[in-house]
Amino acid sequence: MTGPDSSLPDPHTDAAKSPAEALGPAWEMLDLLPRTETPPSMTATTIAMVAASAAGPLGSNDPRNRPARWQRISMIHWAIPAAAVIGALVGGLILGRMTAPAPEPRVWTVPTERVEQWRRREQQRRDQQREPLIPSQRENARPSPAETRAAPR
Amino acid sequence: MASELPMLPMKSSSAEMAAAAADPSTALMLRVRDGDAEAFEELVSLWQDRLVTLFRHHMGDHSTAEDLAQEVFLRVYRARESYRPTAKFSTWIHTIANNVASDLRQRSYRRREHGLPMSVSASSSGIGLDQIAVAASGQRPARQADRGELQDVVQRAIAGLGDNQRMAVLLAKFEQCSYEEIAEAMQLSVPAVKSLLFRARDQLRAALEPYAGEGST
Repeated sequence: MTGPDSSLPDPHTDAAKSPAEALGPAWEMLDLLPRTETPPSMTATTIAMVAASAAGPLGSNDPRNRPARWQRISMIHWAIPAAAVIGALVGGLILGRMTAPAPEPRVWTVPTERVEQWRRREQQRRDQQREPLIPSQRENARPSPAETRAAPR
Repeated sequence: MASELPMLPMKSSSAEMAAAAADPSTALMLRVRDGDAEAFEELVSLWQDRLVTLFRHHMGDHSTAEDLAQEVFLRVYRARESYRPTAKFSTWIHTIANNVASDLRQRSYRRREHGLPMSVSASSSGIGLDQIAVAASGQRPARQADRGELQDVVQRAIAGLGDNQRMAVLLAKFEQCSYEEIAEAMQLSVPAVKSLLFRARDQLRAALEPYAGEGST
Protein backbone atom coordinates (compact mmCIF):
# COMPACT_ATOMS: atom_id res chain seq x y z
CA MET A 1 0.00 0.00 0.00
CA THR A 2 2.70 2.46 0.87
CA GLY A 3 5.31 1.22 -1.58
CA PRO A 4 5.80 2.63 -5.03
CA ASP A 5 3.14 1.61 -7.50
CA SER A 6 4.72 0.47 -10.76
CA SER A 7 1.41 0.81 -12.56
CA LEU A 8 1.48 4.58 -12.12
CA PRO A 9 3.51 6.80 -14.43
CA ASP A 10 7.03 7.81 -13.53
CA PRO A 11 7.43 11.49 -12.62
CA HIS A 12 10.50 11.91 -14.77
CA THR A 13 8.86 10.74 -17.95
CA ASP A 14 6.07 12.23 -19.97
CA ALA A 15 3.83 9.26 -19.31
CA ALA A 16 1.40 11.43 -17.37
CA LYS A 17 0.08 13.93 -19.86
CA SER A 18 -1.90 15.90 -17.31
CA PRO A 19 -1.97 16.53 -13.57
CA ALA A 20 -5.10 14.37 -13.41
CA GLU A 21 -3.15 11.40 -14.70
CA ALA A 22 -0.26 12.25 -12.43
CA LEU A 23 -2.42 12.16 -9.35
CA GLY A 24 -3.95 8.84 -10.28
CA PRO A 25 -6.74 7.48 -8.06
CA ALA A 26 -6.53 10.41 -5.66
CA TRP A 27 -7.84 12.71 -8.37
CA GLU A 28 -11.43 11.53 -8.07
CA MET A 29 -11.30 11.53 -4.29
CA LEU A 30 -10.45 15.23 -4.44
CA ASP A 31 -13.92 15.84 -5.88
CA LEU A 32 -15.16 15.41 -2.33
CA LEU A 33 -13.55 18.70 -1.32
CA PRO A 34 -16.33 21.27 -1.15
CA ARG A 35 -16.44 24.35 -3.34
CA THR A 36 -16.92 27.55 -1.40
CA GLU A 37 -19.76 29.91 -2.19
CA THR A 38 -19.22 33.30 -0.68
CA PRO A 39 -22.19 35.52 0.15
CA PRO A 40 -22.88 38.43 -2.23
CA SER A 41 -22.05 40.80 0.59
CA MET A 42 -18.44 39.71 0.40
CA THR A 43 -18.07 41.24 -3.04
CA ALA A 44 -19.22 44.57 -1.64
CA THR A 45 -16.87 44.15 1.32
CA THR A 46 -13.98 43.38 -0.98
CA ILE A 47 -14.67 46.37 -3.21
CA ALA A 48 -14.96 48.64 -0.18
CA MET A 49 -11.72 47.28 1.26
CA VAL A 50 -9.87 47.78 -2.02
CA ALA A 51 -11.33 51.26 -2.42
CA ALA A 52 -10.29 52.20 1.11
CA SER A 53 -6.82 50.78 0.62
CA ALA A 54 -6.38 52.43 -2.75
CA ALA A 55 -7.47 55.80 -1.44
CA GLY A 56 -5.71 55.44 1.89
CA PRO A 57 -2.16 56.46 2.53
CA LEU A 58 -0.87 52.97 3.16
CA GLY A 59 -3.01 51.18 0.67
CA SER A 60 -1.04 51.85 -2.44
CA ASN A 61 2.36 50.69 -3.54
CA ASP A 62 2.39 53.29 -6.25
CA PRO A 63 3.82 56.51 -4.86
CA ARG A 64 1.83 58.44 -7.47
CA ASN A 65 -1.36 57.29 -5.76
CA ARG A 66 -0.31 58.58 -2.36
CA PRO A 67 -1.52 61.93 -1.09
CA ALA A 68 1.11 64.67 -1.03
CA ARG A 69 1.07 64.78 2.77
CA TRP A 70 2.09 61.14 2.94
CA GLN A 71 4.75 61.65 0.30
CA ARG A 72 6.18 64.39 2.50
CA ILE A 73 6.00 62.14 5.56
CA SER A 74 7.70 59.28 3.76
CA MET A 75 10.43 61.69 2.66
CA ILE A 76 10.78 62.86 6.24
CA HIS A 77 11.16 59.25 7.31
CA TRP A 78 14.47 58.97 5.54
CA ALA A 79 15.45 62.63 5.31
CA ILE A 80 15.53 63.28 9.07
CA PRO A 81 17.81 60.38 9.99
CA ALA A 82 20.03 61.13 7.00
CA ALA A 83 20.30 64.80 7.98
CA ALA A 84 21.00 63.82 11.59
CA VAL A 85 23.83 61.51 10.57
CA ILE A 86 25.37 64.05 8.20
CA GLY A 87 25.04 66.81 10.83
CA ALA A 88 26.70 64.66 13.46
CA LEU A 89 29.58 63.87 11.13
CA VAL A 90 30.15 67.52 10.16
CA GLY A 91 29.78 68.71 13.77
CA GLY A 92 32.23 66.11 14.99
CA LEU A 93 34.70 67.13 12.34
CA ILE A 94 34.42 70.84 13.20
CA LEU A 95 34.60 70.19 16.95
CA GLY A 96 37.59 67.95 16.49
CA ARG A 97 39.41 70.62 14.52
CA MET A 98 38.60 73.30 17.09
CA THR A 99 39.66 71.33 20.14
CA ALA A 100 42.71 69.61 18.72
CA PRO A 101 46.08 71.05 19.99
CA ALA A 102 48.20 73.02 17.53
CA PRO A 103 50.74 70.78 15.93
CA GLU A 104 54.33 71.38 17.14
CA PRO A 105 56.98 72.03 14.48
CA ARG A 106 59.16 69.29 15.84
CA VAL A 107 61.23 68.91 12.75
CA TRP A 108 62.64 72.45 12.88
CA THR A 109 62.37 73.36 16.56
CA VAL A 110 64.49 70.60 17.94
CA PRO A 111 67.62 71.28 15.82
CA THR A 112 67.28 75.02 16.40
CA GLU A 113 67.05 74.50 20.13
CA ARG A 114 69.99 72.20 20.02
CA VAL A 115 72.02 74.68 18.01
CA GLU A 116 71.14 77.36 20.52
CA GLN A 117 72.12 75.08 23.37
CA TRP A 118 75.30 74.19 21.63
CA ARG A 119 76.11 77.87 21.07
CA ARG A 120 75.47 78.67 24.70
CA ARG A 121 77.61 75.84 25.89
CA GLU A 122 80.33 76.80 23.46
CA GLN A 123 80.17 80.41 24.59
CA GLN A 124 80.44 79.37 28.22
CA ARG A 125 83.41 77.17 27.45
CA ARG A 126 85.14 79.98 25.61
CA ASP A 127 84.42 82.41 28.39
CA GLN A 128 85.96 80.03 30.86
CA GLN A 129 89.01 79.45 28.73
CA ARG A 130 89.49 83.09 27.74
CA GLU A 131 92.45 84.75 29.45
CA PRO A 132 91.93 87.93 31.41
CA LEU A 133 92.68 91.03 29.39
CA ILE A 134 93.85 93.20 32.34
CA PRO A 135 97.68 93.07 32.46
CA SER A 136 97.95 93.33 36.29
CA GLN A 137 95.82 90.36 36.60
CA ARG A 138 97.90 88.65 33.97
CA GLU A 139 101.20 89.29 35.80
CA ASN A 140 99.98 88.32 39.20
CA ALA A 141 98.28 85.39 38.00
CA ARG A 142 99.86 82.11 38.64
CA PRO A 143 100.43 80.02 35.58
CA SER A 144 98.09 77.30 35.09
CA PRO A 145 99.38 73.73 35.47
CA ALA A 146 99.28 73.35 31.76
CA GLU A 147 101.39 76.42 31.23
CA THR A 148 103.84 75.24 33.85
CA ARG A 149 104.22 71.89 32.18
CA ALA A 150 104.58 73.46 28.77
CA ALA A 151 107.24 75.99 29.80
CA PRO A 152 110.85 75.11 28.83
CA ARG A 153 113.12 74.35 31.72
CA MET B 1 -19.78 50.64 -4.78
CA ALA B 2 -17.43 50.28 -7.73
CA SER B 3 -17.56 54.02 -8.41
CA GLU B 4 -15.58 54.52 -5.20
CA LEU B 5 -12.51 53.16 -6.93
CA PRO B 6 -10.21 55.76 -8.47
CA MET B 7 -9.54 54.90 -12.09
CA LEU B 8 -7.29 56.37 -14.76
CA PRO B 9 -8.46 55.90 -18.36
CA MET B 10 -6.13 54.07 -20.78
CA LYS B 11 -6.43 52.74 -24.29
CA SER B 12 -6.18 49.10 -25.38
CA SER B 13 -4.18 47.97 -28.41
CA SER B 14 -5.48 45.63 -31.09
CA ALA B 15 -3.46 42.70 -29.69
CA GLU B 16 -5.03 43.30 -26.32
CA MET B 17 -8.45 43.41 -27.91
CA ALA B 18 -7.75 39.98 -29.41
CA ALA B 19 -6.64 38.63 -26.02
CA ALA B 20 -9.75 40.08 -24.46
CA ALA B 21 -11.92 38.36 -27.01
CA ALA B 22 -10.34 35.01 -26.17
CA ASP B 23 -10.69 35.29 -22.41
CA PRO B 24 -13.54 37.06 -20.55
CA SER B 25 -11.38 37.62 -17.47
CA THR B 26 -8.69 39.25 -19.59
CA ALA B 27 -11.35 41.47 -21.11
CA LEU B 28 -12.52 42.49 -17.65
CA MET B 29 -8.98 43.15 -16.49
CA LEU B 30 -8.27 45.32 -19.52
CA ARG B 31 -11.40 47.27 -18.73
CA VAL B 32 -10.18 47.64 -15.14
CA ARG B 33 -6.85 48.90 -16.44
CA ASP B 34 -8.64 51.29 -18.75
CA GLY B 35 -10.49 52.83 -15.84
CA ASP B 36 -13.74 50.86 -15.67
CA ALA B 37 -14.58 50.48 -12.00
CA GLU B 38 -17.60 48.29 -12.69
CA ALA B 39 -15.36 45.81 -14.48
CA PHE B 40 -13.41 45.38 -11.28
CA GLU B 41 -16.61 44.52 -9.43
CA GLU B 42 -17.42 41.95 -12.11
CA LEU B 43 -13.94 40.54 -11.85
CA VAL B 44 -14.29 40.18 -8.08
CA SER B 45 -17.66 38.45 -8.51
CA LEU B 46 -16.20 36.10 -11.11
CA TRP B 47 -13.10 35.09 -9.18
CA GLN B 48 -14.01 35.43 -5.53
CA ASP B 49 -15.48 31.98 -4.98
CA ARG B 50 -12.66 30.30 -6.87
CA LEU B 51 -9.98 32.06 -4.86
CA VAL B 52 -11.69 31.48 -1.53
CA THR B 53 -12.06 27.78 -2.37
CA LEU B 54 -8.40 27.57 -3.34
CA PHE B 55 -7.22 29.34 -0.21
CA ARG B 56 -9.63 27.49 2.06
CA HIS B 57 -8.18 24.14 1.09
CA HIS B 58 -4.67 25.52 1.02
CA MET B 59 -4.81 27.20 4.42
CA GLY B 60 -7.48 25.08 6.06
CA ASP B 61 -9.38 28.07 7.40
CA HIS B 62 -12.31 29.87 5.82
CA SER B 63 -11.83 33.32 7.31
CA THR B 64 -8.16 33.29 6.39
CA ALA B 65 -9.17 32.26 2.89
CA GLU B 66 -11.49 35.25 2.58
CA ASP B 67 -8.77 37.59 3.82
CA LEU B 68 -6.29 36.19 1.34
CA ALA B 69 -8.76 36.46 -1.53
CA GLN B 70 -9.28 40.12 -0.65
CA GLU B 71 -5.53 40.60 -0.58
CA VAL B 72 -5.31 39.11 -4.08
CA PHE B 73 -7.92 41.55 -5.37
CA LEU B 74 -6.10 44.41 -3.73
CA ARG B 75 -2.87 43.41 -5.48
CA VAL B 76 -4.73 43.00 -8.76
CA TYR B 77 -6.11 46.49 -8.38
CA ARG B 78 -2.76 47.97 -7.50
CA ALA B 79 -1.12 46.29 -10.48
CA ARG B 80 -3.86 47.26 -12.93
CA GLU B 81 -1.84 49.93 -14.69
CA SER B 82 1.04 47.58 -15.41
CA TYR B 83 -1.19 44.71 -16.55
CA ARG B 84 -0.35 43.34 -19.99
CA PRO B 85 -2.29 40.34 -21.36
CA THR B 86 0.86 38.42 -22.30
CA ALA B 87 -0.44 35.29 -20.55
CA LYS B 88 -3.84 34.03 -19.53
CA PHE B 89 -5.45 36.12 -16.83
CA SER B 90 -5.95 32.96 -14.77
CA THR B 91 -2.20 32.32 -14.73
CA TRP B 92 -1.57 35.91 -13.68
CA ILE B 93 -4.06 35.82 -10.81
CA HIS B 94 -2.86 32.35 -9.75
CA THR B 95 0.66 33.75 -9.53
CA ILE B 96 -0.61 36.53 -7.29
CA ALA B 97 -2.57 34.01 -5.21
CA ASN B 98 0.50 31.83 -4.78
CA ASN B 99 2.57 34.84 -3.75
CA VAL B 100 -0.08 35.91 -1.23
CA ALA B 101 -0.16 32.42 0.27
CA SER B 102 3.64 32.30 0.38
CA ASP B 103 3.77 35.66 2.13
CA LEU B 104 1.32 34.45 4.76
CA ARG B 105 3.31 31.28 5.31
CA GLN B 106 6.50 33.26 5.75
CA ARG B 107 4.80 35.55 8.26
CA SER B 108 3.45 32.50 10.07
CA TYR B 109 6.89 30.90 10.19
CA ARG B 110 8.36 34.09 11.58
CA ARG B 111 5.62 34.26 14.20
CA ARG B 112 6.27 30.64 15.09
CA GLU B 113 9.97 31.41 15.46
CA HIS B 114 9.01 34.15 17.87
CA GLY B 115 6.75 31.82 19.82
CA LEU B 116 3.46 33.26 18.62
CA PRO B 117 0.54 31.01 17.70
CA MET B 118 -0.19 30.35 14.05
CA SER B 119 -3.17 28.96 12.26
CA VAL B 120 -2.43 27.71 8.80
CA SER B 121 -2.40 24.30 7.24
CA ALA B 122 -2.30 20.97 8.98
CA SER B 123 1.16 20.26 7.64
CA SER B 124 2.39 23.36 9.35
CA SER B 125 0.64 22.52 12.58
CA GLY B 126 2.13 19.08 12.81
CA ILE B 127 -0.58 16.72 11.56
CA GLY B 128 1.37 14.25 9.52
CA LEU B 129 0.20 12.08 6.70
CA ASP B 130 1.32 9.05 8.65
CA GLN B 131 -1.21 9.94 11.35
CA ILE B 132 -3.88 10.40 8.73
CA ALA B 133 -3.01 7.13 7.09
CA VAL B 134 -3.14 5.29 10.41
CA ALA B 135 -6.45 6.89 11.25
CA ALA B 136 -7.75 6.11 7.82
CA SER B 137 -6.69 2.53 7.44
CA GLY B 138 -4.55 0.82 10.03
CA GLN B 139 -6.75 1.15 13.03
CA ARG B 140 -10.06 1.07 11.28
CA PRO B 141 -11.53 -1.89 9.46
CA ALA B 142 -12.78 -1.45 5.95
CA ARG B 143 -16.26 -0.07 6.21
CA GLN B 144 -18.63 2.29 4.55
CA ALA B 145 -17.82 5.85 5.44
CA ASP B 146 -20.40 8.54 4.99
CA ARG B 147 -19.74 11.46 2.69
CA GLY B 148 -18.96 13.90 5.50
CA GLU B 149 -16.39 11.56 6.95
CA LEU B 150 -14.80 11.06 3.55
CA GLN B 151 -14.65 14.80 3.06
CA ASP B 152 -12.88 15.08 6.37
CA VAL B 153 -10.39 12.40 5.41
CA VAL B 154 -9.65 14.05 2.06
CA GLN B 155 -9.28 17.45 3.67
CA ARG B 156 -6.86 16.05 6.20
CA ALA B 157 -4.95 14.27 3.48
CA ILE B 158 -4.65 17.49 1.51
CA ALA B 159 -3.63 19.37 4.63
CA GLY B 160 -0.90 16.81 5.22
CA LEU B 161 0.83 17.64 1.96
CA GLY B 162 3.69 20.09 1.75
CA ASP B 163 2.78 23.68 0.97
CA ASN B 164 3.95 23.58 -2.64
CA GLN B 165 2.49 20.12 -3.23
CA ARG B 166 -0.85 21.27 -1.90
CA MET B 167 -0.90 24.40 -4.04
CA ALA B 168 0.01 22.40 -7.14
CA VAL B 169 -2.70 19.81 -6.45
CA LEU B 170 -5.33 22.46 -5.78
CA LEU B 171 -4.44 24.46 -8.89
CA ALA B 172 -4.69 21.29 -10.93
CA LYS B 173 -7.94 20.08 -9.40
CA PHE B 174 -9.91 23.25 -8.81
CA GLU B 175 -8.53 25.49 -11.53
CA GLN B 176 -7.89 22.80 -14.14
CA CYS B 177 -4.37 24.14 -14.65
CA SER B 178 -1.92 22.35 -16.89
CA TYR B 179 1.63 21.54 -15.84
CA GLU B 180 2.83 24.66 -17.64
CA GLU B 181 0.25 26.91 -16.01
CA ILE B 182 1.04 25.55 -12.55
CA ALA B 183 4.74 26.00 -13.21
CA GLU B 184 4.24 29.60 -14.27
CA ALA B 185 1.96 30.41 -11.35
CA MET B 186 4.33 28.88 -8.83
CA GLN B 187 7.49 30.12 -10.56
CA LEU B 188 8.80 26.58 -10.90
CA SER B 189 9.94 24.44 -13.81
CA VAL B 190 7.56 21.95 -15.40
CA PRO B 191 9.66 18.98 -14.20
CA ALA B 192 9.56 20.40 -10.69
CA VAL B 193 5.77 20.59 -10.87
CA LYS B 194 5.57 17.04 -12.17
CA SER B 195 7.77 15.91 -9.32
CA LEU B 196 5.61 17.77 -6.81
CA LEU B 197 2.44 16.16 -8.14
CA PHE B 198 3.90 12.66 -8.19
CA ARG B 199 5.10 12.96 -4.64
CA ALA B 200 1.69 14.32 -3.69
CA ARG B 201 0.10 11.35 -5.43
CA ASP B 202 2.11 8.90 -3.34
CA GLN B 203 1.22 10.66 -0.12
CA LEU B 204 -2.45 11.01 -1.01
CA ARG B 205 -2.59 7.38 -2.05
CA ALA B 206 -1.27 6.33 1.32
CA ALA B 207 -3.95 8.35 3.07
CA LEU B 208 -6.89 7.74 0.76
CA GLU B 209 -6.45 4.23 -0.54
CA PRO B 210 -8.65 2.64 2.15
CA TYR B 211 -11.47 4.86 0.98
CA ALA B 212 -10.85 4.62 -2.75
CA GLY B 213 -14.05 3.78 -4.55
CA GLU B 214 -16.28 5.15 -1.81
CA GLY B 215 -15.94 8.72 -2.94
CA SER B 216 -17.64 8.14 -6.22
CA THR B 217 -20.63 6.42 -4.66
